[in-house]
Amino acid sequence: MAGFLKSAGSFLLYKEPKNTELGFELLETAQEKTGQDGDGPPTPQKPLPPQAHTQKKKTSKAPLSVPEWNESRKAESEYCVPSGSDDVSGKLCVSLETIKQKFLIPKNQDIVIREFKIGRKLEAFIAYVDGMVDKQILNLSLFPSVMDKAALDGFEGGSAADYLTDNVLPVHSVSKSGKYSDIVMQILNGSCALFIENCNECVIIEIKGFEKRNVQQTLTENVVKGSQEGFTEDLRTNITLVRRIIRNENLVTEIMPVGNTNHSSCAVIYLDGVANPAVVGEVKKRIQSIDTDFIMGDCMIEQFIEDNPFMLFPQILSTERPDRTASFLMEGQVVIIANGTPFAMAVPVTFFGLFHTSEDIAVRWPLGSFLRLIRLVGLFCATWLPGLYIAITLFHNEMLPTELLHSIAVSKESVPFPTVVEVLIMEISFELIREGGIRVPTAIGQTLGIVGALILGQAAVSAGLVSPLLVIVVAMTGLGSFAIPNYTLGLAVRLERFLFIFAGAFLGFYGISLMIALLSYVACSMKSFGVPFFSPIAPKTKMNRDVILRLPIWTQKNRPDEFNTLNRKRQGNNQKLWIDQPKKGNQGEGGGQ
Amino acid sequence: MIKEGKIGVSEAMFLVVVAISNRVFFTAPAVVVKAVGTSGWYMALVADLTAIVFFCFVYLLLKRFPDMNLIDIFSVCFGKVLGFLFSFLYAGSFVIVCGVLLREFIDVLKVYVFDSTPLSVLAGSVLAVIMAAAFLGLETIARVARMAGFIMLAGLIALMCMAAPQFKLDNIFPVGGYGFGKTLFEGLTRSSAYSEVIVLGIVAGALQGAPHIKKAGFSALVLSGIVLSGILLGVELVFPYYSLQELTSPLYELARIITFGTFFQRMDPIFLFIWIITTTVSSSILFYCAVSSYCKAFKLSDTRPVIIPIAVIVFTFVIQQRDIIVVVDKLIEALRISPVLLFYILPAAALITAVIRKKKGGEQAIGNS
Repeated sequence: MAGFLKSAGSFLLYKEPKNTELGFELLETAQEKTGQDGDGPPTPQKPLPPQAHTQKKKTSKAPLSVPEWNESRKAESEYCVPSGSDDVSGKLCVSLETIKQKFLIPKNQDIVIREFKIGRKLEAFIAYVDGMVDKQILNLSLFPSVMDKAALDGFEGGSAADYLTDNVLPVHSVSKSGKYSDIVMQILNGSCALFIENCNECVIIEIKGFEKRNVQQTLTENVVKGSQEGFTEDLRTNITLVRRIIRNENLVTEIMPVGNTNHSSCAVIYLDGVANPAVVGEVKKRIQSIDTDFIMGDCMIEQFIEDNPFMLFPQILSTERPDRTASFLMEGQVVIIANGTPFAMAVPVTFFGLFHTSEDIAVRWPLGSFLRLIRLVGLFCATWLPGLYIAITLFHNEMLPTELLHSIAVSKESVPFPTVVEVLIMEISFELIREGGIRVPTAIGQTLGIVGALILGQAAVSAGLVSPLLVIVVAMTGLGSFAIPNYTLGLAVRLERFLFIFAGAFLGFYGISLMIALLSYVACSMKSFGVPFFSPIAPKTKMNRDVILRLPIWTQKNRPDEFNTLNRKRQGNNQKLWIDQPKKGNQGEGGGQ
Repeated sequence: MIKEGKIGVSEAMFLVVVAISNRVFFTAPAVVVKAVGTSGWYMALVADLTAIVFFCFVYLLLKRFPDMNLIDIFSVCFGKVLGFLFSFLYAGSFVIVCGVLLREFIDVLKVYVFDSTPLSVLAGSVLAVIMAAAFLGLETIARVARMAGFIMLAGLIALMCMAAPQFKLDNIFPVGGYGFGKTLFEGLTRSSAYSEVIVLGIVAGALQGAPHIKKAGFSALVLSGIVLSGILLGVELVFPYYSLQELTSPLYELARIITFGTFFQRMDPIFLFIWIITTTVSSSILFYCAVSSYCKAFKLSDTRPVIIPIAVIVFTFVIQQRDIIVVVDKLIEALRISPVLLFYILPAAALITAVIRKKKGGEQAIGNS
């Protein structure tokens, strides 16, 4: 009854409506609107420093006059207020405030600032990012050394930073910097910054110690013979893995910053005296010109620096293997390794280079050549087989022997779809299985592959959706695409296959031939860092003995001609040398007679 | 000036070889046999020798004007007005030659494979590829031509080897055909079959000097002569001359009759790939020459705006012809004479004019001045 009265009352009486907003809503502000109108690159939004809040209306900052500058210096020295200058202040409290402001402390909680006294006399503090430095070194080596009573025993004035660097700090890599911007970057990279009272320089101590994956077996480029090591996500580790293979003083590593906001870095590696300087310069130029907020690994860099972004074929070769990276460097190519992904990129690259694997050189030459030919057969199957099947069944029945034609006709009799629809159903199903198998966890992924291939194929045939012959065609296509060693090329071929399916369905062999001609034109017009993509075939250059077939290792005397390396010669007449040498030992002077 | 890039000797050679040899896929063998009977295979060699003689004039002209193409040379030799007129004629001729080749190709395709497909669909699709090739430029076309040339030669050799069991030596007798005199006369007049060698004159700027032109031109003519003569001999050995002249595409018929056991029969669709790809490349070369000549005549620095309009003209020309009879009996016969005048006689006249008017190009001109 009470409920009824309440309902009736609420029906008759007016009530203020409740706030029915659904909660948080992100609306565009006027500031954002104006920010988006500009043509320039996006700039990182930094919160204003405390003193700047008083001057909100000012959009541009006029240079300080001499009295103003003196005033600000006075304020700095008297009240520990940062002046806004990028130079490190001699007063420790100013540096402390500056670092706190730059890292938004106390809002930002993973920056550690530890104040202490060096040798129980000199005020100092250390700043680092929690989790990025090696705390063992910090606790057991660094702090005991600098906080030791005798740490400043020999100090007779002058720069304390120099004294500590020369006599106290027990760390292998120490540098000094007088700019806050540089110091902030070093702290973000995992170094430790030591600020000292009355010192205009900060000591940067490199004791990086963040968690990283160990060197493990490669996941995408497994081989039976040869090295089993793969790259990791850490740039320094990856460079070391390459340097361990090429122990040559001419191997140059240039570290370059990329990403305006995430401040990542990448290494450009080349063998000086072998790699063409023009290619090295072009690689550096393209990386330097990348203007973006965020770079995560080599895959993003690849998309910024490739020659033809609208082409399907990859123009940069990506590998997970240090041994393969080393072989590229020895061939005169330039390698780019970025922080964050376990891959290295090699440029320039040709179409035929995408079919090579590190196993080719690990096995004897007839076997290596055979593997290459198998891969080319795989390419043929992966690209053309479904298209040819459609063309033959729709347009060119006459080329099939009567018995085969009869069996195809019988198998297709119960299928209600046109051939092209039938092929598309199977191809898309196969692509779904493959994509699903990659995304789900490994154990389930394998099962999914088997289930998909066997059950779906069998069920589709039993249900009369597709003909048995088509299942074989699609299976061959799938196997062919798996045989392509380069993942990006494999993806490109998967996409091209659909072009050939439509071309075959539209105009039979005529359509497929035209598509081949078109793709040939496109491929022949492409370049990878100035090197034609189809060289040394089109245009013809001096053929190396390791292009399509892998001929004996001792015949491969020169580096690839198309890369225009400074040093063309790779090796001498190895086989001839030991054949021509006089016999020694038992069959020497006496036995030989 | 348009930027054509640089091409090598072998690429230039295959540009010409593909453009010339492509005609064996269509009605050319039947037309030749109809004209001279069983002596067609060596008539091709006579025509080739004649073309080599004519090419000497072209080479001497290009040598006299290094780093210049024929279009520019005409302006120098004949003056601006006449030079422009001849250059424009060249562009028009290439449009017609390309159109006739495409129409012949599509008609043969309709006869053998796509009897119910509309002509415009077949012509439009091949023209789309040709346009893409022209957009990508001479370097690309030359690279693809070299690859297509090798594929074509390998395919033709394979075809001849597979057809070898069908060869009957009796078919080439009497060796004299309709008489040696007629063979010689037809050989001299049909030298236009090799007139595509003039392509080298149009793209001379992309080659590295007269020695490269000489090497590419003469070797291309020799190789094309061998291919044409060899194919004619092959089809004559298989088909008697009286039935050969009735065939629309003797080479396609030859591929049809190849049989190895019960499984390897009807190889013609495989042969279709070589046929279509080389014809596409050949038409791309001719189309590019039309575009290039036009741009050079009007001193245009970019070929791209001209490609679509010229493609529309070629397409219109292709679909305008009534049927294959008109193409074979009128257009192809007309193309026997006009290329000789335009592509052989005109350069020879330019050479003579240059000698009389003491016109030279490059360093020679500087030396004289």
